[in-house]
Amino acid sequence: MTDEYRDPDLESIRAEWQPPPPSAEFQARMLSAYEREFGRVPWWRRRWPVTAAVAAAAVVLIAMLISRPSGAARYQPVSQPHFVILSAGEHP
Amino acid sequence: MSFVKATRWIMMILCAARILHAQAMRNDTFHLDNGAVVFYQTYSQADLTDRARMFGTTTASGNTIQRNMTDGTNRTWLGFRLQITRLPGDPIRFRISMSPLGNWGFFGQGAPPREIQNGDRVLLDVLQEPGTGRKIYDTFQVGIGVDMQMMPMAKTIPQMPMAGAAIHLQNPSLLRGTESLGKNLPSSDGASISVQVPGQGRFSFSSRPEPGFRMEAIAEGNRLMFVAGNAQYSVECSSPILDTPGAWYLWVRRE
Repeated sequence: MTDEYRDPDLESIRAEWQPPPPSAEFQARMLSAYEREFGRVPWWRRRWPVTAAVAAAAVVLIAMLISRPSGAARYQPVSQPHFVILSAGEHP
Repeated sequence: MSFVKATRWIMMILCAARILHAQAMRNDTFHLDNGAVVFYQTYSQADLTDRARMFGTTTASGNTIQRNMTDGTNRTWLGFRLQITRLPGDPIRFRISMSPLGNWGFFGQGAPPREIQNGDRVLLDVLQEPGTGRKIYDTFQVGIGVDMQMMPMAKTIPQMPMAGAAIHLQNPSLLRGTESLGKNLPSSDGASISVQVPGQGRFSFSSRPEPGFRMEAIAEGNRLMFVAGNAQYSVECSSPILDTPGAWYLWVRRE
């Protein structure tokens, strides 16, 4: 069974064909088009992995600050204080 | 500036901030109705954000000093009153006692009253960190017509050394405030040592109580800070003064 959609002559021509190189303005036009499309998007949306990492770090930092015990929580009054007369050579 | 340099600067600034924070101390001077002057000092090792709470407030009225400490919502969680009564007769003596302040929190039991001599310096343990057992102290000196001086400030709260711990003064230089009184003085080692300073007399230091000595010296790293009369002195050495890191009380006597 032959492939009536394949023309051997046309195949050899296509194999030798090289696409033309992009024009000199191609890159500038692409960048310009990208800028038009996404230029107004804030950087934190364009670089969302970085944004997510910074946000996660901020959340962790805030959580640590909130959960850190205050001076009142860390320290408690001693059960019975004592007057220690340092000048007399006494010590705690 | 390179990244490494920038990181190094940031680390230096953070370390400096940590040291400054660790040196937190507040001094108050009060003149009581009975003629006594009180030098009141509060030490804190708490975080910078907690310092104000840890210090609380110290005020004086009549012959009484009021201390209170508040939490983050300005609720007073500890309050006490120190009564300083001048006793009749000579020499000048005082009786110090403690009582609750208002209906605020108080200790399980108040400090037992004590009688002190004119110019005595008193230490009062106030707070304790349950996990570590570390205590926060107030100290105060009470006197009429005597030389008085605030205790020097250490980077950490001073602890008591083992009695008889060796004191090392290697190539000591003595300063009164920022004034140099002697450089490269003779080195000495021992539990009780002396430094002879031309024109200034002899300064003796001990790691245990001895007659005539006052526990008014603090050794920390290569530095020994102390009070004699109404002046603050320091001895700078070329090596650590005690073998154990930290700040340590020592006894001092000037002859």
